[in-house]
This record gives sequence, C-alpha cells and structure tokens, in this order.
Amino acid sequence: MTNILSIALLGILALCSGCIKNTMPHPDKLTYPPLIYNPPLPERIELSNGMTVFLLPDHHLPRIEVTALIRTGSAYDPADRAGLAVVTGTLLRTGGTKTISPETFDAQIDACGAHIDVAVNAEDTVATLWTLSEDFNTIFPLFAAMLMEPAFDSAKLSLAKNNLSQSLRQIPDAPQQFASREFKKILYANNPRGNLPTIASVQRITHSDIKNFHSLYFNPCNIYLGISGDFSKENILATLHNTFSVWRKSSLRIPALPTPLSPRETELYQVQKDLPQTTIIAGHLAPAKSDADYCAFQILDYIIGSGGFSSRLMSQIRTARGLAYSVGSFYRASIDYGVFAMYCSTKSSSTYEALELLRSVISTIANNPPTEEEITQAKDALINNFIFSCESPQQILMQHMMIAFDNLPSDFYSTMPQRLQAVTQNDIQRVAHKWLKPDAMTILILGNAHKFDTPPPSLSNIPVQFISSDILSE
Amino acid sequence: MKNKYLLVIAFLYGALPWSALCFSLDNMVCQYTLDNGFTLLVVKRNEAPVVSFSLCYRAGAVDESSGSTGTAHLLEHMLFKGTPTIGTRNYAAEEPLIKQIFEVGTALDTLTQQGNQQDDEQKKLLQQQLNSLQEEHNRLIIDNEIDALYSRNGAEGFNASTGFDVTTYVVSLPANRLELWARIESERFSHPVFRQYFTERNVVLEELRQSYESRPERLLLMHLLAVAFLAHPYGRPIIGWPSDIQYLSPYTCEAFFRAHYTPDKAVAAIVGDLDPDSVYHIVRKYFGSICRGSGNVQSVTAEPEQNGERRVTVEAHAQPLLIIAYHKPTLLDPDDTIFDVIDVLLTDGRSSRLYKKLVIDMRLASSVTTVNGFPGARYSNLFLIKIVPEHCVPYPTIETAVYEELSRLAKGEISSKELATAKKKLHADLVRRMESNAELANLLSYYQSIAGDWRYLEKNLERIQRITPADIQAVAKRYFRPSNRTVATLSERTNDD
Repeated sequence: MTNILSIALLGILALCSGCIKNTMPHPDKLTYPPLIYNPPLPERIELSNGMTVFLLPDHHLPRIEVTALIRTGSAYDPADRAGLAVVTGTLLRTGGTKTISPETFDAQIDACGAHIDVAVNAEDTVATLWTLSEDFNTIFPLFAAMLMEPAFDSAKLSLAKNNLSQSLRQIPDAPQQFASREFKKILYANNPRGNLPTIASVQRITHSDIKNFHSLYFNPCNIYLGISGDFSKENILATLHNTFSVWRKSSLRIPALPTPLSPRETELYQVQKDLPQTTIIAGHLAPAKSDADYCAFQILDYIIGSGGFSSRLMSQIRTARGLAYSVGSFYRASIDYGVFAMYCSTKSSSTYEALELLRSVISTIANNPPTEEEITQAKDALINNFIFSCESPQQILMQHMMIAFDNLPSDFYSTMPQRLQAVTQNDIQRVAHKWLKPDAMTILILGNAHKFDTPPPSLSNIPVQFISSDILSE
Repeated sequence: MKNKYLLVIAFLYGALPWSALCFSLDNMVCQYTLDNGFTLLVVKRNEAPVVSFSLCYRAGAVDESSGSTGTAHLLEHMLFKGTPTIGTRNYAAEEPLIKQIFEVGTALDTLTQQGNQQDDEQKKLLQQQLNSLQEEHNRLIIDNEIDALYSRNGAEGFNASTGFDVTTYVVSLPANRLELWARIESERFSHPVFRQYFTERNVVLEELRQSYESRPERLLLMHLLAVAFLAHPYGRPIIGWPSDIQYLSPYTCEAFFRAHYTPDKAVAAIVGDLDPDSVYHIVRKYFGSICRGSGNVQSVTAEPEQNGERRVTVEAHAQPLLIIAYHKPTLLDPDDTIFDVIDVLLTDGRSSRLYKKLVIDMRLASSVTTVNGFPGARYSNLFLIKIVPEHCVPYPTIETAVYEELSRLAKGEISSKELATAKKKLHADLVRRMESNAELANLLSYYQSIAGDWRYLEKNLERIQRITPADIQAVAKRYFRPSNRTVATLSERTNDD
C-alpha cells in the first residue's frame, strides 16, 4: 500500500494549466476491449421427495444464501380470505416450529447475525436465508423446520393480523403505493389477482385457514430450492438429505390461475384524496413471457417509458415540460400474460394535460413509429445491461429456478441478448399495432378532483367512474 | 436523480458495521491521490466483469446559505444536463442563448418575487421572451445525452443523491467501460452546461410535491429537523424551502458549483473487475488536469446545546406516527460508535429490545426503527427512534414504554450475551453489504469523504469490539435526557381546514 501511494504521488506530473474548455472527442468515439462472460452454471439435483435443488458454490465471501421458491401466493387466497397467503408467510417466520418456540427461533437468528425472511408475491412465495457460513449448521435447520413443520403460534397469528391491518391503514398515506393497489384492483377485476386484502378480509382469517393453506402448498414437489455461497457440495448434499428426507411428497396438483381479461374500451377510474399531486396509472395486458413478441415488446416498452431519460414519456413530460418528477412505463410478464402500464405524478392542475400526453405517446405511435436510432439505443441498453442480471451467484440461481418454475427452455435467459438483437423495426411496428391499446386502457387517477384542469376533448367523452377504496373496510 | 429519496441516504449510512474479524481492508483497497487533490480508491473483485463507481463530493445542503436552500440539490439535477461536447448539436450557438435565458429568466423571477401588479405587462413580455428563447435553445440540444450514453453502454443504477453532508454520483458498467465513465464524469464535473434550467426547476417543485408534500412521514421529519436544529443547517430541508426553490437563480447554482465541486473535495471509489494501476492511469489522464479548489472552508453555524424538551405536531389526514430524537455528536466522536451498538440493541431484529417490547410483547406499535446519525454525520446530529403506533394506541403510552427501555440502558441493564449478539450482527451485516460492488464503493467513498479516511470502517469495528456495558450506560445517561429530546407526532387534521 505504501509503495503504491508513493508511486502515485511521485508519478503525477500533470500540470494544472487553467480551466480551458474541453475539446475531447465525443464519448461515442471510445472503443472497448471485448467483454466475455460465461456465468457459472448451477448444478440441478432432484431429492428423493421430489424437491428440486440448485447448487452454486462461491467462495468470495464467508456466507451462504438459501432461496426457496414456492408456487403459491396472494392470487391463491380464497375469495373471502384475501391476505391469507401474506399472513401465512408472516406466521411461518414468526410463529415458531413444532420444536422451537417463536422467541428461541428469533433469538438464535439474531445471535448469529443471520436473516430469514418470507416474501409473498401474487403468484409465488420466496423464503430466503442469509447466514455467515460458520453458522450454517445452526441456522439451516431453523429454516427447514420453518418450511416443514411450522407451529403457527396463536398469539403470533393475532399479532400478524394486527400488523397487516395496520400496514393496510398506512397504504393511503403513500400515494404511489395506494394508486398501484387500486390500479391492480381494477385491472384484475373478476380475477383472483385482484382479490386484495382489506382490514375486514384479514380479520376473517383463522388458524385453520393458515394450516390448510400451508399443507396445500408447502410440500417438496412445489418447492425449488437454491443454495449459493461458501459451501462444499458433499457437505451440503448430506445436510439436505438428512434434513428433508422426513418431508414426504404430496401428489396434489395446483390448479392454473385464470388469465386476466382486458376491457373492450377505456375505463377511467378516480379515487378522491386531498393531495397536492395526482398519481396516474394507465395500462392494459401485454405479451406473456412465453409469447413470441416478448423481446420486441421489451424494446417497445423501453422506447415508450422504461428507458429512463431516453424514453419518450420522460423526454416529453419531464424534460420538455417539467410536468413530473416521476414518469415512465413498466412491462411485467409472467408465463401466461403480461401487463404494460404508464405512470406519472403531476400537480393537480396538470392532471389531464399529463394524462393526455401519456395517452398520446401510445396513440401516435403508428404515425410516429420508433426510429432506427431509438431501437438501436434500446437494444444496446438492454443487451449491454444483460450482464447485471447475472452478476451475483444469487441472481444466477434465481434465473435457473425461474426457468424451472415457469417450465421455460433452459436457454431462455442466456439467449436473451441474441433474441433482442434479432428484433427488427418491422417487428416493433407490428407489436405496437397488435398490443398497444390507447382506446382500451384501464386508467386510475388518484388525487384531488376539485383542483384538476379541464379534460381535453379526446378524454371528455370517457365517463369517469368515482370509486372509493375498500382497503379500510372493516 | 431518478426516484431518489433525499433523506434515505442519511438512513442508509446510519450504522456502520465493519469487522476486523474476517477482512483486512488494507489488503483490498488501493488508494491514490492526484496532484490536484482528487482521491481515488480501487478494489479489485472478479466475480463478474462489471464495475461500480461512486463519486462523492464533500458538498451538500449544509453548504448553502440562507435564502438559497435547495441549491445543492438543484445543482445535482443540472449536472445531468451535459457538457460542451455532450448533449449539444452546436455548442457555440448554444452559449449565447443560455446566457440570455439566464438573464431573462432571472429578471422574470425578480419581478414575480416583488409581486407588484403594475409589472404584470412586463412579466408577460419576459415570459414570452423566455419561452421563445427556450424553444430556440431546445432545437440545439440532444436531450439527456449523458443518460443515453451510459444506458446504451449497459449502465445499471445511474443516479445521484444529494445529502446534507455530501453529494454522490453513482453508476455501474460492464468492466470494459471504465474509460467511458472517466470521460463523461471528468467533463461534467469540470465543464457542466446548465441546459433547460428553468424547466428543471419545475421538475424539482414536482419532486417536492411527490416526496414531501404528499408524504406525511417526510413532512413530519422535515418539521422535526426544523425544531431540533435552531441554528445549524441540518434544520432545513435538503430539497429546499418551497419559496427558495421557486426563485433559485442559475447564478447561485454556478457559484455553488465553482466553490464546492473541486478535485480536493472529490473521492472516487471504484469496485469491480479491474486492475487498480490501470484504473489509476485512466483516472489521472481524465481528472488530473482539473484545477484544484481554493481550499477555502466555509464556516457553518454550530447548534447550541438544547436546554429543554421540544415538541412538534403536524396535522395531516394520515395514520399516526411518532418520532423521538436526541442530539448527539458527530461521526468522529467516540460516543458515535457506542450509538452504533445502541442502535442494534434497540431495534435490529425481532429479539431486539424495543421491537420485542413495543411490537411483540406489549403490542403498542406495528413497527419501530432507529437511526444513528440523522440527518447527517459531518456535524452533531440526532439519534432517531421512529414508531408506527398500533391502531388506537395513544402516543403517551408508547412514549412511556420507550423511555423505560432507554432508562434500562442508563441503569446499565445490559447482558454480555446481548452485547455479543449486537457485535456479531454488526460484523455479519457488513459481510452482507460487501456482496455488492455498488454498496462497497458507496461505503468507501462516503467514509473517505466524511471521516477523511476509509479505514474508519475497520477502526470503528475494532472500537465496537471493545465496547462494554459501562460504556453504553454512560452514553445512555449522557444523551437520553428529556431536556435533550425532540418529539414529533402526526395528528389527524381537524375539519376546520
């Protein structure tokens, strides 16, 4: 270190010759050495009870991470028990196991500086464990017991329900989160994905609901387990066999969720709240992950609004007009459907101006199709950024687990750059024409309608449906 | 810059775990200093061919003067607008236009601020003139070209955050793009061009509505700071007071840039799959010729000692929220390290003291968190306890329970097992944070800027290992006093509003 420092100090002879204006060539003129990266491949193992395991050793840091990906989630809540999956997830973590009390469970995790968490999404649930490798043998049995034989302590059940209710009460205090919840509610009307928890639905959840939910979905055939970090394969395999051999497979098949449906014409919903700024979300269904248009739509979405400052939404609404700080679009695809939506937060008096701009970005795309320059920018960005989706062992494992979960071709992610590259300008135009529906959108506006601007003629004939959120219903 | 949360940076940099137990940073970090004072820290890691950059300037909202709050933050926005060679179709044509836009916009601001009705005609004329100048200027601009350049080269997490103490510019790139970073950053931090200034100022006003005025929790924190700090600039919002932002002048931003964005105040931390010496050569090539600063240090008003409890209430249509804050010294004071341990003892994990008591056992709260070092660390700051009450539980009940727990610390009721758990947690959490190149780069650039030496991380961990129950008792006694306390609460807005 000392040597490096002294060389540095002696070696610097650059003179500070006044702050003259820069005349360097444009950064696009820079050239770069080739970058080759073949991410390590995890090993896939099938345990005798049907559990699929992926292993990826990595010895850079003295830690081990375990991820259990389970096919269950909020979309599997019974119609009158919205919140059941979330409460089950919380109680797995906090309710102790058949042999370990909740207090001991918490104390052991904390004493090792480890983390065990359960995150419940709409269509999957992810339980994670992070521990220093030296404590793996202490912590992993807790994690496994939590999945296999949770106790669902009754006192912790009422605590979990109260805490969830309180966090529901807080959602309206965070406008973007609130708008996003209400948007889901209307986008997924009449679909299990739109069955969102309310204070009333959470209070109905019983101990036996939780036990049934757990026994239905938490079995070895329904779990993909990924382990990365500082371990040896032999030891980990022995641990896995010893730990999970008592957990017997079940033959239950999980029914597929119905695919959401789109409205035939634009539906405009408004939630009244006294706020200085309006949040708008406008969107519709989009290609599924398995759809041939998946890659082309990613590029289209990038150009419209997910490409940060390069996107049309950002440049027209924020950069040129200063109407918003947050504006953009997102595209999320699961195996059987996708969702595309645009969002913007703007002051009350520019609500309709901003909404009209959002809509016009997709309604004018036929006349103003993505240029070769925009497409190249989007492709380069997505392809060159691809490396960051497999930067860590944990990410690599997750990609492989998702391939198994979604039953996708094994090279689904690794060939993504080539498939993005192959998309043509014609593909983009075709996909824009086929999938963008400026006249059949679901639109949610959250804000203070008394201070909105007047809707432009193009929007004035769309009836506004005033709705009030059911989140606080008791 | 994009969806950034201004105060979050202070939260993230709260507790500072490091361990002498399993790492020696000295073996990992290569440090270089250029002639002009620019500091470079490089860590080679070869998990994947990527690299993270964190460029930290020791300049932030504390360095602003009264009447121009929000300058550091608006300047951060302007530093995304390009340079003489990036973001332009014809810079020579742009230069005089920008000058005129500044003049007309500033004249319009002056008249608007004066608010005399007889000036209305003149204001209208100036607005028209400004609009047409901006239109003409927009034709010469390539919008957001810095962002576009980084994006098409695969950038991840290109962003910036303005804090009270420092302003940090971050991005991660494929490892072969080092020179792109050096090329762009060296030019934007020596020759920025403030394009679309007045439009961007409106974007910041939208950010204010989004991040503060629509968020009761942020509003409450803003009021808490204003009450806890009577004199020190930590009492002002980083984003600025609304009336200041509305009229912030481009000349103020320029002056702030010239005074504070100098190489001697800059630290770049670069972590990833790169050879440290070749990084140094590239960085020297691009940053070496930037002029060093004047070295002038601006004096900042010190906060006088608090002599009595302060309370502030913010009315909002929102769920209740309680924040309790105690004044405490800067990062470099030995007591700060003890607060790092107290932070963990109180709220880190389900078995931590306040969490267990308030959330699990007594069911008074649905969450409780603490922050050591809010809203900054360069100057005396606050230890914060934030509580979301359980439904219908009154504030006084919660306060009583919190104060009981704090007085247990002051009585020295700390078991050696509990203390060992806290120390282990601080060690483990650091290993966890080390997994990310970006996070390590941020830690290094931050501590080099704030503590003057990245080795603070290791030294602090060594100090943590030596902390005894008696140390904690002494600090709890010294600082957790009612007269050193500020309490902020959200209350339901009354109907007469």
